[in-house]
Amino acid sequence: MALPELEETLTSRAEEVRRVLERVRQHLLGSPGFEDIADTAQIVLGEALNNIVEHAYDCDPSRPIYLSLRFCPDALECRIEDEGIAMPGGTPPKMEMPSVTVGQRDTLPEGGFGWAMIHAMTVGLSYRREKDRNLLSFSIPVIAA
Amino acid sequence: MPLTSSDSEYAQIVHVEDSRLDASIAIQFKEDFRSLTAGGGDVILEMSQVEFLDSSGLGSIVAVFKGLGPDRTMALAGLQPAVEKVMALTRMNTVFAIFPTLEDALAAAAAPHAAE
Repeated sequence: MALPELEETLTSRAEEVRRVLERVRQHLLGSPGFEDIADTAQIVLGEALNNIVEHAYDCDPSRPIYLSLRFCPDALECRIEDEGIAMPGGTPPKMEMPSVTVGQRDTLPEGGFGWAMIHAMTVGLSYRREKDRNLLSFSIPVIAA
Repeated sequence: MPLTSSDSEYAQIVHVEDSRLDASIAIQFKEDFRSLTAGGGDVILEMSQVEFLDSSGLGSIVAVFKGLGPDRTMALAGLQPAVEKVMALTRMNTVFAIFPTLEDALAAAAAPHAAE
């Protein structure tokens, strides 16, 4: 039996990312076994999609992004494709969470959280360039109840 | 307009009137917050309507906190689970005073003045 899937195509705008994330969230909340990762999926997919909007497409608001989600027994497999520029160095940034020092307000980081959160909440992160497309995939584990 | 403001005795309360504090409204959030809080004083950011916070939204909260300068405090109140998750993952929960409800934040703001 084929595993359930969800596919979405969106254009490269923050409002479209918001629309798709809300749709994914509703879908997960209605999928037995996946309710508990609805928040995590929204956070991770939001970071990945906004990175494409801002970097791969450099804020050009009319380009396509393809998202597909596969509901496996132990994980949500996520696959995202875009036709923007390749990731620098051909690999996703391997970023540590920016360091935070309590009591030093002036030096608090205002960015750099996105990839760190993706790394922290996913497994099997993979990126490759295929012809003129970026293919990013990762899985969000389902925590057994 | 994603923000509104109300006053209490010891702090200004800024309410986020959107279910998502994300990349699509982060810049407007910063601009609106700065104009609303230009008058000075401590701030409570009331976030009970916010169901989702992304890294851009978090960055905007940090930016406005820094923009208040060293002498004004900013507490966060009414965080929903997905928002708390981002705060914990980024360790920003160690930087901000976070209260379950606005009432708790108001009580904490009033506490230093109780003996006066």
